[in-house]
Amino acid sequence: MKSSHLLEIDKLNTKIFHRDYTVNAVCDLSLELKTKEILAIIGESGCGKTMSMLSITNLIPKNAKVVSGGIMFNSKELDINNEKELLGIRGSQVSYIFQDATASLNPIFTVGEQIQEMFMAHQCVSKNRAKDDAAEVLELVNLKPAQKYYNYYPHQLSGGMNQRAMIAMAIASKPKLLIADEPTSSLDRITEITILKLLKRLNAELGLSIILITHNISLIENFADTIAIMYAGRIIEKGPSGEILNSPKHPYTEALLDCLPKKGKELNAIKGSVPNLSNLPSGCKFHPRCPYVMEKCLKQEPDFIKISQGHSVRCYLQQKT
Amino acid sequence: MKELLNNKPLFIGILLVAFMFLVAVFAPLISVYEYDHINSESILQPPSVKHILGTDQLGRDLFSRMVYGARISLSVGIIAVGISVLIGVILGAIAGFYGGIIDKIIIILIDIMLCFPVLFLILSIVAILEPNIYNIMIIIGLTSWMGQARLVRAEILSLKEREFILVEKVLGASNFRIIFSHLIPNAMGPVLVSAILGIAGAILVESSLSFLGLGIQPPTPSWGNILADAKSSLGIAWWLSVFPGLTIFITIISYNLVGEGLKKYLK
Amino acid sequence: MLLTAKNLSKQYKIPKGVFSNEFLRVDALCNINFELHEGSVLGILGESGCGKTTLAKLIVKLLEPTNGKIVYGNTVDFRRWIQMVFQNPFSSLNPMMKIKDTLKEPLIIHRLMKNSDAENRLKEIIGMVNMDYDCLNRYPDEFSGGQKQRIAIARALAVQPKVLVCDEPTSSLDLSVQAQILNLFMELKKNLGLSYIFISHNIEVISFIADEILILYKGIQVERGLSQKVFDSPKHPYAKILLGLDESKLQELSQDKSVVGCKFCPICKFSSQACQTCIPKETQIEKGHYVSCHLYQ
Repeated sequence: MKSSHLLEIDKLNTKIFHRDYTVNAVCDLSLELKTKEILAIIGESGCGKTMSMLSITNLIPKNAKVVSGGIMFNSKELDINNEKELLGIRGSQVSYIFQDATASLNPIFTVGEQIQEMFMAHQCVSKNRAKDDAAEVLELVNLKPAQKYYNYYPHQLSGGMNQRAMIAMAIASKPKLLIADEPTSSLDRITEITILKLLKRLNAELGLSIILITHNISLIENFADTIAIMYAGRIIEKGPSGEILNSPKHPYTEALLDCLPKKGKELNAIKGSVPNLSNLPSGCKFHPRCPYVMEKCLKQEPDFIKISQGHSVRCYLQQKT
Repeated sequence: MKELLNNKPLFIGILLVAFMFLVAVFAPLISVYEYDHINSESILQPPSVKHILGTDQLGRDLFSRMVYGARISLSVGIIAVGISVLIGVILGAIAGFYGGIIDKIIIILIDIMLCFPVLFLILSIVAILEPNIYNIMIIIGLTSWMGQARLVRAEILSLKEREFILVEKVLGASNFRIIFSHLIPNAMGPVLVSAILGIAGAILVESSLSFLGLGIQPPTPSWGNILADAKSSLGIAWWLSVFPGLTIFITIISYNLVGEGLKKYLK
Repeated sequence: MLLTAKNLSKQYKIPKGVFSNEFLRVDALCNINFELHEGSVLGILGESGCGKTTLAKLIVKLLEPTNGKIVYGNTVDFRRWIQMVFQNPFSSLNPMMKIKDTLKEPLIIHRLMKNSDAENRLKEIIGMVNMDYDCLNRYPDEFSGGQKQRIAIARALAVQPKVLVCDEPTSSLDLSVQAQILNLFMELKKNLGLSYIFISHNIEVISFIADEILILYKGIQVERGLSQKVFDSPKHPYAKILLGLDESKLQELSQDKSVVGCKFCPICKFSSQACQTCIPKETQIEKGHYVSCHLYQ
């Protein structure tokens, strides 16, 4: 076990149990995150990206269960069934922010009061001290002057500002890891850029590791250090962001990048549609839609094949025979 | 469907409602005696093999009278609620859709109607008119539409701005079409629950009226007027008050179970 | 010219308080001018709050303008000539109606169908969006977002319109589904000779699909012109930031200050005295390229 890894996930499996059928939401997911690293998990709806991140601290719905897999956080093994241990980690060492910030905030308290509450809960400080801390963190997320924004209610602020407030709440406890689940999907382009810039600054100034879940590829290159592409509950390619975006090795990654509309360029949509997680195809899950499909793709799912340092892909095309 | 059967209170409610409904429909086949068959030899008999629920002061079989009483109660309940739903849905839809002054007028109308203590209003009207079953149905219907109207108005206010309604406007649909083909069907969920609970309420109102002598007139049996007759034999013939009372109680509960149980699914 | 907007404005009156008799005037749109040419796609680009949805509703007459007007070139019934596709496929289909009934709506409203003919017409319509006709007997909740959007497009096409107003039709779809829908739009434009007014906040989508674009900021039209010209060299300070050609940091506006003069002035790094007091008029930079900014007057 490398001491420089903040988070290590080893073959995580999460299933969702419905009355008549079971969904394999996350399948044999393995990844490592170093301290101060920014990882972007990219995938489309239903690929399991949210479920996998929620599984780390067992925030999954009642009918879901982490059936197997090992999680190491901060050099300690996490026991998914030990609710007490997880309570100590959620919100204080691992924080989350989600998509709709305005809906995540309590409408009857001011933004400042909610941040103050976070400080009081996690740092066990006095009310006045917490108020000062809240003002400090509001300045940190660029909601200046802090005095003014402290007294605003969520409905008086824009979506972007509320998301900054959520980030302030999330970093109140000085966590080591921030998991951001599509934090900018409902925001405009310019606001999105400012939020990502803020996160990057926090990463540099506070040493905060970030996992960003997104389906918006266009802004990731300058933001993330590494990218993991998910499809049908699995990671199918992962590596440094520059490499993944400029020379993708998995046909799905390639096709997905091709789906970005560009002026004057023909748009090559991927034929077919994302598979139903309760009824997955055999072998490689992408094979029905893959333009390079071979016979062995139908028989068995490929393992990770190393392309270069830190870059690996699950595809038989990369197999050197 | 499976979910419906797993919800025990709802399931029991449905069974009871269905049971009562079948009793009412097959009344002539189930009742052994005629409901007005007077038998001076079997006055005030307790429940026995010959008379399952006993007899009353005129020797009439209580069971047969109860079974016909079910017919009365259910028909009043259903038709009165039908009238109230018709008025309530139309007024509520018009108020919600058009807004402005039409909405204000209808709201004022609803508020005025709600200000009246309904039972006294019904009593006053019944005292003036002839107390027959049709009048009772109409009067209960005309005084209980307000809840429906409010529900429909609220649903339509929020549905009005939904995209599939805007689409209909862009397609060129007439207001009539939008209200009746699209808005009302989507607003019927809460109305259905309110209607089911309303049937229970209507049955209770009818029983109360009949108990006071202002509802169904003897010899036609109604659970209410059977209870009224039982007043004089309260200490002697427990079956005359217990059975009708229990039946009203169980009937009301069964409709409530169904109404409350369906709330979850119609959201 | 299919459609011309002249000095189009829309003002909303919002009551100041629950019990107040005073109103706050909000300018949702101010002095919008544009033209839609036959066979072309006019892209309307802007961020939230810029008034693009209000503009869409004005164009299809769901709202009346406070000032100005739109001149339409329709020769047939308005509701057959122009149709609309909305953003959210989940709420644009009536959840209680089967797909075939949803598709029959426009046909029934405009009396375009004989009962004997119905099935064939429906198959034809659903075929236009590359979907199987066995979907006709199902309900909307059985379909994915992309499929629902196709159905919504089919419904709009049922009356054989010449103009389609699309309000963020792909914003709630995944990347690969978006690509399929965009390709569908291009195919339909070619096969049916349609013209689009395509509204989006997604720069890549607009750059792909639009022939001419119009950039909105808080209800004002900042720049307009041929897509090529505007993307290659945007002139308005806001357009430069939006299209990524200006790396200067943009602090968010804290509140909607009621601004006299150019709405972009409070955060514009080039603002001058004139910007604070005077709303800039639209000037022509070159043929097919217009900007509303004091810098170019």
